Amino acid sequence: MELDIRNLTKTFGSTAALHGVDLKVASGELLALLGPSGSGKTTLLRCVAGLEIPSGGQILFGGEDASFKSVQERNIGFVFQHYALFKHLTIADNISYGLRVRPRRTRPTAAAIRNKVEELLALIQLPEYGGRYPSQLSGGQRQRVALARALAVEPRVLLLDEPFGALDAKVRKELRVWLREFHDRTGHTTLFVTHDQEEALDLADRVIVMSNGKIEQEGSPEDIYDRPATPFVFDFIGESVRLDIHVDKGRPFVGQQEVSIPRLPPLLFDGPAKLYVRPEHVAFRRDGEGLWATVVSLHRSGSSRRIGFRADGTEMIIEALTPADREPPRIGDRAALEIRAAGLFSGTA
Amino acid sequence: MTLYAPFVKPSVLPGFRLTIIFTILYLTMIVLLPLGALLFRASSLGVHELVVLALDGRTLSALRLSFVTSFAAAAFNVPFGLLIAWVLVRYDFPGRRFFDAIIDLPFALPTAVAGIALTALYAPKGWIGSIATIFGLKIAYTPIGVFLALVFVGLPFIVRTVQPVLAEVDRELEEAAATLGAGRLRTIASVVLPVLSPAILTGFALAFARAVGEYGSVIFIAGNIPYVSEIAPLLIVIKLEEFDYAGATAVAAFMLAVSFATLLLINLIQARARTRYGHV
Repeated sequence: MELDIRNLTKTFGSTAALHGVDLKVASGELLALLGPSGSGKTTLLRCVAGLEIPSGGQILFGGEDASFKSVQERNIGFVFQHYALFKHLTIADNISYGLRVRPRRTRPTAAAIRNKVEELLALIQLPEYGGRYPSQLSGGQRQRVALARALAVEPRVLLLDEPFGALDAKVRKELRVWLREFHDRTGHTTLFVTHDQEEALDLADRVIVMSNGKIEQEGSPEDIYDRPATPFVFDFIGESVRLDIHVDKGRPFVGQQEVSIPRLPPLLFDGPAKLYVRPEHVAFRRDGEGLWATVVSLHRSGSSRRIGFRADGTEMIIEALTPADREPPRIGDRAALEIRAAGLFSGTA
Repeated sequence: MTLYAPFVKPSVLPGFRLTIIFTILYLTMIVLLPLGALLFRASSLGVHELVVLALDGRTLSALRLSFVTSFAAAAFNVPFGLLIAWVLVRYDFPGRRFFDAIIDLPFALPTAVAGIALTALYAPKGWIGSIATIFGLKIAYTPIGVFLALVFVGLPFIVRTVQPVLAEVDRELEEAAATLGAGRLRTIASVVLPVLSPAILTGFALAFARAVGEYGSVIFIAGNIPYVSEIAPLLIVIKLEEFDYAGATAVAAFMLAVSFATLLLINLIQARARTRYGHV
């Protein structure tokens, strides 16, 4: 089921949580809504679910306007960060809840419900757990049960709100791999909210980066990481240092030195600008052409080494990442830096 | 090395022995001793005499009135107390704090004051009583009056036990039920009420226990007509005034037994629920 969100706005009192969000989700797509807290990603998800009433805009499910439909009518599957399992019901009764509350006309027979529960328990790899209570399961198991419960009603769209947020790091990673395989097998149109960029980039077909109630950038995980479209995305995704530079006659300068940056679009402005550089895109040599700088810090972490350079004639620090087994320079050494890729944005803020 | 009784888990945080000794002494002096004296007194009567005294027609109807109206009043308070707790917890409206505060008044008011006020309202010439009379309904001086007084004193028990638990109910549970297609009433019945049920049961037990022992607020509105609107605690007082200590003891022992059995049953139901759902 494809999803079409048009100019969606939501205000809580006087604060706006969403400013006119437009988003199309293709059928069967696994989409991540990524952003810091307060970016509006959860509000967007809850509006799609019908758990929040939008202040404006439209939400279409498969071309049909669902903006004014109740939660119950939308037929979505929602998974909460803290599972929200019914702790007075067994796992089997939790999973079958959505089927059992249907009016008699559309309710499956008891035998059909039992079969469905068996099938879902097998799908989430907890076949023997039907008779237990949620309090007897681990966090990861509970979240899988919550997913099975959401899937039991055969939802048109699956919505996951920080599904791994309450789990520890190891279980998180396992469940992430499991969810990707699960999605490839079942093919539900899925939206999931996360503030964890690694999770979003690792798991999703497409990533929507949000901040302050707006979409900053949407694209494949590679687009988002390799070609951040805005300063916010550069800051938020991956690591980068920000350099305050200036552009003179279309050429960028760090202090008094001109820097050459490959694949940069022509600069059509002069004046102050910001340059975002990822440490893995900085190479250094002891001689030759480049941005001359002095080594000011060395830091070993695991398999790599982080080297801090101060650009000549400035106080700006540029970081480079090199393999730990490469012979490191010494503090005070001079080197020519080559910046292989960077983002450049006009202005100072 | 200190030796511990087998049921004591050794702990680096001391305090078990001091607190357990205090608990046992305190409960013995405050609760068990008076009740023990009562049972001792009753046992000196002999089983046969006890049964004869308790099965006396007037005693039996007083006991029946006390337990039936107490049960009915506590049961009546469950849905309405629940509704009040719901409104106080879930909604914000002008005057909420005021209404929240007056819930406790039946606790605080001297029961005799409550009884006189209720009688003034519900007596055939009172504000509400005179209206009820038009419809041929007599409230004061009948079991209905007893029931009303017990509803009055029992309400805070339900509201105050349910309120904190309801405030802790995770709204996500209700949202989850809604996303699965459950309507509002269905959600409340299948998701919220089970979570509240231990608190409701506790509130019911407290309201029931209070009602069985209630005296001051009831005797004014009840009219105390033997065989009709005479409650068991009043009968005990009457028997004492007539120096019929044996009779008073028999009624008291009987009330004690029924009350204890009821509370024990409610506790057992709760213990079962607790082991099943983890904490609740």
